[in-house]
Amino acid sequence: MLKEPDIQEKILAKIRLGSVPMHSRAYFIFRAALAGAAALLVLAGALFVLSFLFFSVHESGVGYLLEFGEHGIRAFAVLFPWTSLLLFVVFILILEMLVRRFEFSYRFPLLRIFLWILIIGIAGSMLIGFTPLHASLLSAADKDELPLLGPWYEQVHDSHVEQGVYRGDITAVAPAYFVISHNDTDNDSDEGTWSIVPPTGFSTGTIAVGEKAYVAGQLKNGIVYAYGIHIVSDSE
Amino acid sequence: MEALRQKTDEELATLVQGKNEEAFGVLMNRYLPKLLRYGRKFLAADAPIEDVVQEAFIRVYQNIRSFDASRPFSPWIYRIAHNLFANALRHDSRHPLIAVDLDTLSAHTAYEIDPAGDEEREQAKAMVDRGLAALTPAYREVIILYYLEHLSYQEIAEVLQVPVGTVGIRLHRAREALRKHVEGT
Repeated sequence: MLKEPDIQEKILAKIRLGSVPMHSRAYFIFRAALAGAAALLVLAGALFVLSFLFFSVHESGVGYLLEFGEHGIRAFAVLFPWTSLLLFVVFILILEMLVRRFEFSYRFPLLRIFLWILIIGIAGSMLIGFTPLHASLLSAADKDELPLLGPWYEQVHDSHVEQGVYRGDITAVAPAYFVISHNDTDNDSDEGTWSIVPPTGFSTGTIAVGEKAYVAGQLKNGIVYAYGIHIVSDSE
Repeated sequence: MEALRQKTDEELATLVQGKNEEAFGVLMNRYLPKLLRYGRKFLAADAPIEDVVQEAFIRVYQNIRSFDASRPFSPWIYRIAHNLFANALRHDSRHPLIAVDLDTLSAHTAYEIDPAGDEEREQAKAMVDRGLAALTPAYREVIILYYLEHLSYQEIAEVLQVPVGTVGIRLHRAREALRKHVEGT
């Protein structure tokens, strides 16, 4: 066992020999800057992913399924972009770990920091939602002009016909049914024409040719028997 | 040398930042016995405490320029020692540390202000001598820093990098556990 003076001498000898280099102030500033930049980068990633999730739910119309009762909620659970949500959670957890490296953070409980990050994430994503960022990226993806992120964006226009979800412009209206058609010439899998029989209580007198419709229902003998219909207004 | 001995820890640390080895020697004189005592109480009896403390001082020297001399030096050096002791405990499978500490998840305002009086400190010290080894590392450490090293709640919070409220609740639980152990023996 080393005695106290021995330990002290050993350390001072190492310092005198130059085998214990003292880090410069610049080294610590660089490390702090690197950690700050990493945190900002991860925050940007989290904001991008969550705002894309909001955009994707709105643009694909999946969010309307929540208006369609139990059937709709089940379809929503299947079609919800869970991968984006998972990615957002991963970003948030990484961000929480990075923030814990900053000295100010230990003064606050983990849950409070997590909530702050979550609030900043949600508020920031909603702000991004007011910009044309995702719409322009989706447009580029549709034209095959978006490398890397293209396939991710094209998912927004994936067909949900197999899950009993149809969307398109109303091309004909009759008292007992109406017809929707979708062809956005982007060569995606969401194109087609369908005859829709609305659920009880829905009057086709309230709709007109040219309006956009989002329909959930069962396809039988080429006709969709709808359990939910959402007419998309211009403001949406 | 005598002039150096009159200086505060923070003044010495500033001199060390300018590569003053004598000032570092004085700082070591002050903190070597404290860190050895802290290590001997916190780590297992057969742990290489001298080696860990030696490593702590080397880290102090290497990282001294990250120390902000407008703040107290004591929590900063204890923080370095705490990290190394915690690592030593992690490598010792008999005394694993919990990866996620539930106490740090939420706020514990009820225990934030809980200063111990002299009488209580003395009673607790007597219990510490009899039952410290029976506590988990997280409780043992907070007891050592408060009752043996005489750090304040705020300083312990800085050493352990947990909210002040968490220090309060850990101390409260550690005292309870200590009391139960001592009464049971």
